[in-house]
Amino acid sequence: MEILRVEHLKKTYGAGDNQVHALDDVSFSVEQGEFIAIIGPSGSGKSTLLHILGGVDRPTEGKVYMDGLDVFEQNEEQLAVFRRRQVGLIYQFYNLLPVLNVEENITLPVLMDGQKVNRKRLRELIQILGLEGREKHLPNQLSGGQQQRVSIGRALMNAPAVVLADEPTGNLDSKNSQEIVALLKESNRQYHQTLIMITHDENIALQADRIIAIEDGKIVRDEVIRK
Amino acid sequence: MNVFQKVTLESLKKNRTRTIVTIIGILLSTAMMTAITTMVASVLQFAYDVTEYDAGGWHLADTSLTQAEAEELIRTGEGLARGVYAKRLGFAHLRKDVNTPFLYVLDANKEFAELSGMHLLEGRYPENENEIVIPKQLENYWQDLDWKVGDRITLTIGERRGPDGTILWQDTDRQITDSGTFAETLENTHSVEFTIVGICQRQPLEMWNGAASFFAVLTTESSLPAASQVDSYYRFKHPHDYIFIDEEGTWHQTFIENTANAKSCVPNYDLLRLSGFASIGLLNAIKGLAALILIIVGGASIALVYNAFAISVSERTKQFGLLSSLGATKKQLQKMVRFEALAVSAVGIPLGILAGLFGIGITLHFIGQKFAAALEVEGTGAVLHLVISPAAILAASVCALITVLLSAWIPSRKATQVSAVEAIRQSQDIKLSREDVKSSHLTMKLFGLSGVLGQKYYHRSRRKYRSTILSLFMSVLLFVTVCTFTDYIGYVGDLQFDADAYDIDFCQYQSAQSVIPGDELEARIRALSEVDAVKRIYNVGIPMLFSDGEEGYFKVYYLNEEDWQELLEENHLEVEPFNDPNHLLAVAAESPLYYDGRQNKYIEGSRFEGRELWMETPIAMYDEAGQLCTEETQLKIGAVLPTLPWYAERDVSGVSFFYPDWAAQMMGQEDTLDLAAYHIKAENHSKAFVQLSELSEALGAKSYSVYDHSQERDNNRNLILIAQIFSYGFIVLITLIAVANVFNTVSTNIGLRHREFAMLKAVGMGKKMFFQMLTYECFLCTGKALLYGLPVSLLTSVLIGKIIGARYVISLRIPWIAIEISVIGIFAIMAFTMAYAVQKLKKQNLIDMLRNENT
Repeated sequence: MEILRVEHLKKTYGAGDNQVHALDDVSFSVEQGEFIAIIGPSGSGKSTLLHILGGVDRPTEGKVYMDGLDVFEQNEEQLAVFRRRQVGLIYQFYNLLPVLNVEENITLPVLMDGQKVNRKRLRELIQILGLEGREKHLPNQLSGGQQQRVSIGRALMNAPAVVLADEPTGNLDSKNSQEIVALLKESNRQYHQTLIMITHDENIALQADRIIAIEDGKIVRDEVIRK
Repeated sequence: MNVFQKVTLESLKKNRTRTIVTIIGILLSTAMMTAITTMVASVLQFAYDVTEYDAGGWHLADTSLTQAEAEELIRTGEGLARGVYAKRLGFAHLRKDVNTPFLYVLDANKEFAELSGMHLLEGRYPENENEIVIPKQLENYWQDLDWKVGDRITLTIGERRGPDGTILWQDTDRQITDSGTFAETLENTHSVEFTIVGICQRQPLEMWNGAASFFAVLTTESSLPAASQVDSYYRFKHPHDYIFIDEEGTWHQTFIENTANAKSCVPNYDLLRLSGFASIGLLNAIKGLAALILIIVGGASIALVYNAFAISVSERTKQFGLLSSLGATKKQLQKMVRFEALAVSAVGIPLGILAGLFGIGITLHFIGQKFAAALEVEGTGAVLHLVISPAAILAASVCALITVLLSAWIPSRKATQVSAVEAIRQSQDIKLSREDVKSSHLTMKLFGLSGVLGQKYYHRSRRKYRSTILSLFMSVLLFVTVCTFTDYIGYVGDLQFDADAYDIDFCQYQSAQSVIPGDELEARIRALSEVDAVKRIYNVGIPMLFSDGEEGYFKVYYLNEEDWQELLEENHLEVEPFNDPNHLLAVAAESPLYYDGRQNKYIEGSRFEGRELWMETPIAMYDEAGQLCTEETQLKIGAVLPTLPWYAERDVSGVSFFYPDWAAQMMGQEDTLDLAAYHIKAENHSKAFVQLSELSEALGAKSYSVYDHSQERDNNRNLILIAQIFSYGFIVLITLIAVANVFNTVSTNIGLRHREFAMLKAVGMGKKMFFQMLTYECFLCTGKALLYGLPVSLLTSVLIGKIIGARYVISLRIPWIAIEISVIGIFAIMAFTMAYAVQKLKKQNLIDMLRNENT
């Protein structure tokens, strides 16, 4: 089942001589449950693409359909709700709220919605992420790896349509990196969670089902490496 | 509480210092607003108390009801707090002559006296029909009456009947024929002997202008026949129930329906105006002034609170961006900022109210008495005290809350304007252009790299520093302006109320005979323990003409031998020229301030200006044989003293002249030497006044009068002092708000750059250089504030000078000291703040700062 379709996406910054084409006519589609790695040199437009997919940034031209919905036809309000429920974002620099504890950071999208927290799911996630006993800790009391796990938990809590990860292991040592990728793969396998991850690391990229390479804002390679 | 509120609260807790400073700012501004509104409420209450004493506590007075009707109203009147009436026994003559007033004899009890505004000053109220209470004002008018408590008097009380036989009451003037005799008669008289048991304040409603007046005296339970109509007074629980003013401004009452006419039923205008009826110009002016000050305070507070929120928002940009990327709507983010506003208000406003009440309470505790004394209403017993008015507190709270919400408004919108993408990336919201960070070569040469960096940093943060500069500018401006103002009024006060002058005047009435010879009197005065010095003065005012045609009226003093010598010696003048009868010379003494009638202003300077003076009555000089040899009209002046001797009167003519006493005859002023005044210096002037009053009473009260000039000086000094206290209090608080603002901005600004500073240090910038860089940045900021602040302050000083100049022409006074203090002050504030911020930085580990994300 197609969960995501991108059509002729364009994103330009600046004007005149300073104009930058971050994305130049990008089109592709994603099936539910796919694990996609996006690779490419710095400044190629990977992060821009991810932010657009996440509804955080608007494209200059083109369309994005998530689960049949035209994402950018929505107004600001609807887009915000869309981000809460349909998308899970994981960043390189964790981006947790330093004033909230682990539990609260994980359940943040739910709390923003004003909904009741599904405690069973929360407990499940905490267990899978190996964060038992640290529910009430603040981010500055956790190691880098632990903080990233919290990030993952936050992304997975609402069981979004797509999880988008921007260099999730960029800030971690090799051991932690491996654990994080394993966790992501696990959620991908167990929950059929569609996962799109940007990475520099070839080893990690090779663990995905499909690799998309972007250069100068265009897709130069789109390869399924695993069925 | 939802998660946004929790995040907000946690952020507030995390940035403890800034949160506390913001709360302090809100506290200060709320305190000031509470102080202002409470002061207004207290002053209004004070005015009401004073008026209630003077005018009586009644709301409605009637003169046409019968006793039965009055009693009925008093018994059944709804909403009546108190009702009293007095029976009219009639009138009595004090003396048969046309020019002395009648006594209006009333039969009533103590309650009547109190409600109608007669206050007992001595003795007690009458308890039977042969006791009487008289008003004190009687003795002020006819000195030879001299009635005291315990005296027995006989009054012939009767009805006043006009020429046509009608009965006349208080509302009818005395009827006098053209030839100056009575046109009315007193009929049905009864002669009654009374003992005076008390002296009271006159009844406010009496007609008492001049000689043709009546004085109400009080007795009780009389068996004399009374008129059918009574004087009744009523006080309501809620005056608005029965009294109102229509659109045209006419007063109406609905309590007494069957009153004879509009004049017979009268509301207590003065008191009611202070209870919310027609507005009084002065009170409106006070309310207007209070509103103006509230706006100024509000403005200063908005600057502070806005800044605090702006900082908070910009610091949390990343947080907002993150929340936005995770799905928070713009409204939710705005609500977060407003919640922050409400949270700090919830702490700041109640504390501020308490602080304001406390502050005013203490201030009034100390100056409340002085205020009454300064306004010379001590007799009323009213004291300016703290009135805790719910309306005032509510008004202040609402103003404070509006201030805070207004301040948070713009930052709350800014919170949502940063796009989520920018916020998430590490690039901050600093957009720079090359222009922004250009620095001059001059800076490089003079101050080196640290100067250049300081300058670039300053330019980069220009916007952030704007509100700091504004705060400092306002503080400097307000400080210098208020200092100028208080300096001017203090200076004018000193000019007008000369502290060197004598304290008490003891004079003889012209009409009275001297009871004892002057030498003896002087000796007795000198003998009083509280009297430090006394001079016997003979002076007269003489009209004179200046050489350019301007007219004037000046005091001329004739000093006895001893005093004349003393004057000459003290001022190092040669004795001989001043003692030559053929060539009469005056010693002139100038006062610092004189009144110019043509311009209607008081002018500081010499009225003389070397002009010559002529007198109307020539000085006649006789030779040894007693022959008239010359007549001079020009005043010849031998010396001009810069100040008046202590025993001279301080008047507004600008200069006074002194002669030896033998010159009086030559000038045709012999009779002046018949009337002496005694000018007394006493450190403890109040006690001396009591002693001198007793002496005057002992000699025969109606021959001498005693006046305490120092009391008047003290009163005026007190008023000025009070104005100064409030002015300085105001500045201090505004400055504190400014300091809080600066502290917030600067310390945050430095805090935000901790990573950059760490980098500079890591790369090798030494402590000294670092310090210089910050100093330069700080210097640019305060420099700019001063650049705007000082010229504008000088401008307002000149403006104040001009305003004062409308009435007092004095030389321009520039408050140099205030300016110096403000310059030093704001540099100190900046320095202290920077030092604090840098101190905090030092504590952090260099490497952590460079690397760590989650701090």
